[in-house]
Amino acid sequence: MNENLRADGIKLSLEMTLVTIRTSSGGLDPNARFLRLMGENRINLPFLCSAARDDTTVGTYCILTEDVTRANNVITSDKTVMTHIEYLPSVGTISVFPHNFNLAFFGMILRLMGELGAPLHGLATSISALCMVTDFSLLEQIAGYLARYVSLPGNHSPFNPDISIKSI
Amino acid sequence: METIAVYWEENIKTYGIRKETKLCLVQMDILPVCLVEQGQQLAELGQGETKVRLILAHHHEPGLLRLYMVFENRWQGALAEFFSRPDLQEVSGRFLLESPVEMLNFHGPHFGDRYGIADMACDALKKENIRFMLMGCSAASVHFIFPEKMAARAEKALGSVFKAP
Repeated sequence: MNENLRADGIKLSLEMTLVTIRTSSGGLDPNARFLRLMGENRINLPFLCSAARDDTTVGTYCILTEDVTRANNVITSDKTVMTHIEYLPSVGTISVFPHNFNLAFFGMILRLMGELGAPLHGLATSISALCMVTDFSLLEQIAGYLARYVSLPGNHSPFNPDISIKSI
Repeated sequence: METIAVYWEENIKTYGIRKETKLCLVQMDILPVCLVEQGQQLAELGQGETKVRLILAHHHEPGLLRLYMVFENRWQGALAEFFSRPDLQEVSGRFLLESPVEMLNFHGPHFGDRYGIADMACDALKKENIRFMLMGCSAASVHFIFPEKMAARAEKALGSVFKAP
């Protein structure tokens, strides 16, 4: 077991759809419009990564599967967003915590994902967790593989949460 | 069992808005087939004292993972030297270092489960014509990266919507 690979827990998300909006600058920003539409329609985005670099803005968002139909109905009514949007269904997040701002820890997790051939669709650190977006069907397999190399406490919480909170 | 609670607040409560200046941003591209090698490189770089303040990544274009890492400015020399190593150039994608940049981050109760947080934050910035370079939201955290001397203005703008204790 590598000394850098200690964690308190691994958590898996529910099934989600990954939405990507790529756009060049000028005119209405479809990413801002998308955020407004989701907020107005009370649709949560559990994961978000947005980069406005040079003349290009790329926004990547996760929507819970149970909200996708509702989100679709809203999006298809808006031409600004509709013309820039791409969907990747059936993704999920795997969060490993705490990361302790440790670059070696992050590098090792990336390496393990690569060894497993698991796709990495997105990634973001929170104050405590390293959260990775990958294929939903692979979440359990990835968690099992990481658990072979990451030292977890004996009383760590289950990978799958037994409660979920939804803002209505 | 289902429990329904109604919660509304005039200003969204946070656990505090934190500003960090004198940071540098590293951008590198990763091909999926190079994940093992580049993960190993980063693990090697992290064996020293280098701490990373924020990591974000997504597919900048299909099939190309763009990784953004934010460090304290004092590491930029070591970072530039590391990524310039000839043996790393073979597997490393394009490497870009920008400095200085600034960061704002805040966390709030159940932010990961609540709609509209990102929209409120972006709208507050937009009203003051403040453009961010990067934004990341996961779990209960929201992070923004700005060009130099923008974080103070952004902090003020966000303060109109988000309440710090």
